[in-house]
Amino acid sequence: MTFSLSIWYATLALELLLLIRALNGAFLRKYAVFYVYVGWVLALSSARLIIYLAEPAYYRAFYWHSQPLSVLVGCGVLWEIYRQALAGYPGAARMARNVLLFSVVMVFSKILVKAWTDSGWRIAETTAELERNMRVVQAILLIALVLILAQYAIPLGRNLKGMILGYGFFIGTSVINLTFRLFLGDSFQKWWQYLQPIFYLAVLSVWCWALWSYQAAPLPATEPKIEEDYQLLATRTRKSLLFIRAYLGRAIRS
Amino acid sequence: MTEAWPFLAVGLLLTVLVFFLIRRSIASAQDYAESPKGQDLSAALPPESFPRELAARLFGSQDWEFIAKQRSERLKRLFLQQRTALALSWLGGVRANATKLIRVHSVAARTNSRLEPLVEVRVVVDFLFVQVLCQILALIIWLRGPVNLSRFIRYADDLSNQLYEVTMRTQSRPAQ
Repeated sequence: MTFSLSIWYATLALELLLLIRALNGAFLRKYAVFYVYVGWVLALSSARLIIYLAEPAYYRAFYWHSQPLSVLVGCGVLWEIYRQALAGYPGAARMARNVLLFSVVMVFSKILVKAWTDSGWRIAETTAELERNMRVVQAILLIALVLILAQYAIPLGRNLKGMILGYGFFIGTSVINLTFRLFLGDSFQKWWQYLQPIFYLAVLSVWCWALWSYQAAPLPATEPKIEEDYQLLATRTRKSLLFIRAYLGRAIRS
Repeated sequence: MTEAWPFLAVGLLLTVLVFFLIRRSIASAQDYAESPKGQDLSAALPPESFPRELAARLFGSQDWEFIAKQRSERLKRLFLQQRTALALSWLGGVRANATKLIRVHSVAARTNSRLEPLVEVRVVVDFLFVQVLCQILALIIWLRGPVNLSRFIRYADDLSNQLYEVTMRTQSRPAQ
């Protein structure tokens, strides 16, 4: 337990360090939503620690009852990544909005269809399952966002890179850990109590490195103002791609 | 446990993707820094990027017929090896041109507030078909060598055309 507690103290210290660095560097407001999340996690973790030390019997119940709200607050990090990364790119932002909306509609349609066809279906049997399902929705949205950022080669500053890397790693490992916990049951609990805090400690270390000082994403100020007409641009690109296909066919048939 | 696989796949995919994005964002920042500002589509792909004579010679039977007449197995083998390497390199060049084209398109489209998501999806589908076609051709060239490929190429081309038409039919608006 000493090991778990030392990791716990370390995560609290890193969360506090993140907030202090942002306050000192005067960039807390730049990433306000992200720091609200960090502040929330710090407050919640502190409350959990007090309960754990004072009344260990209540800890488990308190943890699982407060966790869904924590996952909801975590959606703010996704919003922050979207807002910061695509601020100077209205075209990519428009594409991202549509893809994210499509992903949300698909996920909720699947849930509705399942609820409609399966009379005994519930959104989750346990809080752990509810958290896993909420994390999966976040993971799908983050995957969609990451693909858009990659497709449009959006330049990311160090702060944003760290935010994405940290939160992506956190959500990814949470989904994997929660899935193992749900399917393997108590036999995985021993691993769970070490793995989850270790991964979170790694995430906080990445965030501390990336958000040590303010380094915003580069703005597209010198971006070439070419192909003002989007329809013309798209038509030209498609024609060029068709030309490449035809060229391949012609060359090899010769 | 089979029910767990989709969840594990999502978790793993996200973890891999974020690492990939960070690596790619470092590489692409360098690429874009090197690319000339104000480049447009026609400048990105000048006509000399697609030399017809080279391709015709590479896949034509003229040189092969000459080598075949020499009645040397070693020479034939060497010729086919080198031709295969050349053909794969040519194909790599075509793929690189398609990638360059989509990059220039993305750079222009990302700041354009009039971007239409559905049209953008079609552009990506077109690009992916070029990539798939190149992969199929590379596999055929690697397996059979570049000489006398017409029959196989027609098959690969027909296959990709059918796939393309099916995909386009699933989209509501007609292609431009």
